[in-house]
Amino acid sequence: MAPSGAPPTLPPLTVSKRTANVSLEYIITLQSSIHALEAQIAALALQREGLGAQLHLAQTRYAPVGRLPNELLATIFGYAVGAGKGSSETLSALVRVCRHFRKVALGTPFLWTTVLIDADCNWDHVRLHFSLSNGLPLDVSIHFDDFPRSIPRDAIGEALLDAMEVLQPAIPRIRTFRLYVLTEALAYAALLRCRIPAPLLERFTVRVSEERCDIGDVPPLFRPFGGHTPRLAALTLQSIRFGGALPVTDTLRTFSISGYASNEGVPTSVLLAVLRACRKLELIRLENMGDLRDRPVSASSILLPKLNRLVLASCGIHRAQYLLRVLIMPRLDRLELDNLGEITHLLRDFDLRAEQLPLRHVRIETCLFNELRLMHLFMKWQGIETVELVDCEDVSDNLLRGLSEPPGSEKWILPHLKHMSLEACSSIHDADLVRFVSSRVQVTDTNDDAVRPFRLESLGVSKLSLSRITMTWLASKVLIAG
Amino acid sequence: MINLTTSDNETFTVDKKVAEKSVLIKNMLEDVGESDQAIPLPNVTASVLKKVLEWCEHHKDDPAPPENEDKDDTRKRTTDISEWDQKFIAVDQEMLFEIILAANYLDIKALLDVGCKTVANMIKGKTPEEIRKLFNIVNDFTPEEEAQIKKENEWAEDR
Repeated sequence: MAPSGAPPTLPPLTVSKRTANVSLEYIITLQSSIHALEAQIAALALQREGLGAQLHLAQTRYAPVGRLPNELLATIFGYAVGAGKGSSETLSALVRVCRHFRKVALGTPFLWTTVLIDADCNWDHVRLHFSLSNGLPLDVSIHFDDFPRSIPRDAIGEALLDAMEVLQPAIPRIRTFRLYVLTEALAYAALLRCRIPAPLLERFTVRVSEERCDIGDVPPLFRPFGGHTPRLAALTLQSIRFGGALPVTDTLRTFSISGYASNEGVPTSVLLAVLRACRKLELIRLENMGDLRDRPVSASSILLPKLNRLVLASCGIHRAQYLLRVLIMPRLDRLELDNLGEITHLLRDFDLRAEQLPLRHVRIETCLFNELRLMHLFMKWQGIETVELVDCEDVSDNLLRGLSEPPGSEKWILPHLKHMSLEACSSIHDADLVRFVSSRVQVTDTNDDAVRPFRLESLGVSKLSLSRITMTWLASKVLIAG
Repeated sequence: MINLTTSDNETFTVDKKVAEKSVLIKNMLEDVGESDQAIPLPNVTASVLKKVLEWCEHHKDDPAPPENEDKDDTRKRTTDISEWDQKFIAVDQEMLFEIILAANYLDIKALLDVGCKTVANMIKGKTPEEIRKLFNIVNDFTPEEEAQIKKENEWAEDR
């Protein structure tokens, strides 16, 4: 039986073409039948398309991942996208998997809060991030620091200014702002366009790759974001001068500067002013700075009651010594001295007030010092759990003997020591290292008796010339780090 | 000890401390008090509950996860998973998603995180086609839609 709406069944034309007496009605009937068939085919095609879509949906939902509610899928997307390298690519892939993934991704604002801008960027996509992030705080990174030398600087500058123009409406929402550029001039060009307040800004980083002054004077009283950054907690600057007006607030917890070969980058007076103004600082890191040429005028002490980590790396022994005399750091937990030259005087200064520093972690790298002086300090720094001595040619077997089991009823030095690194300390020999470790692992795990030390847990011995037998023995006793 | 009955009518007797890793069960116990009656878990099968309880037993002494974490802060999102959890979650995809759904239903945040991070790690670095293949997802974009989306995302492909 023909389905309803089907064309009428017509008798076939059996007469020969030459003799056929074809009426007009017959032709019309044929045409009508064909039209009816075409309508039926179109209806069936539409029905097939609908069923196909349902099948796709059912197949997607039947797949285990399809059973997840949207909020869980969004959580998974959040972890997959993250905030690091490759986040844009992952997000781009997710929106192209299927309609369901696309709908969830586009409807999840926090996936769009990380904004990476570079010269190859599509500005429409940056704007899309601003729009889809739906008013949430933004983490913006601008990378204009990696170009082939063939590209003219003017072109780079123009692209950067375009980027800053696109960024303007989002400045009030910026929570993290990282600017990586080739030159100081490019940094100023970008920052001079950051005039409106950034009330949500917490982390502010400017990194200039080429450490040289390519412009004469610093803009006077140059304050990005109109100086209005009431939530700023971390400031990281590399090779950019701020004309005596560093963009700090008293909310600052992390202060990190590097790449200032000349003192005019951050004059001592400016540095001291920052430290005085930011009493909530928890971390200070000074790296790759020219040393003080003249002895600065004596300054009154600066109390930093919350400072727990201080890193002084390649910033000049005079600057380091000066700062360590001025700063009072009652909660300093971690001290790192790197590439400062001869630091024995500095250690002597410490010796006078060693008990005031509650240090638990000391790292000294590529410095020269009197080993005995360091041992004196270790005798006072009883709370230290981690010691890293890296590439220190003055560290010898004597230090290891001093840290091994003391004779008779003498006290252990560094009784809380759990982690020790002697990386690239080439004067160390197998026998004393074995003796040191042996004496440090024989003790109990708990320091129930003040005379007995904690057990040594890890040891860094990379770049030491130790025999295979020694290495095997050490690995059987402690975790070999590095 | 607490009795838990699964959707396929299997009953598990577990230590209260282990069961209370689930906020859902903890709240139920607080609301109705302790009794001999089994707590019904109609959304969890026995095979899945067995795995979930294995996780709860191992983590029973862990401190409670911090509340009011900023879910929207992508900066704090890492996909690190402890070695034990990695071995625990090395199951087939069917079971992995069932564990995620069960952790969500039972309100065990730390286990839910382990599951979500595991799936996220499977996604990272893959192309759309690889993701489809991985999860048996059908590409339901029309050719026109796909061409348009591909065009929109050319910037990401070039990187």
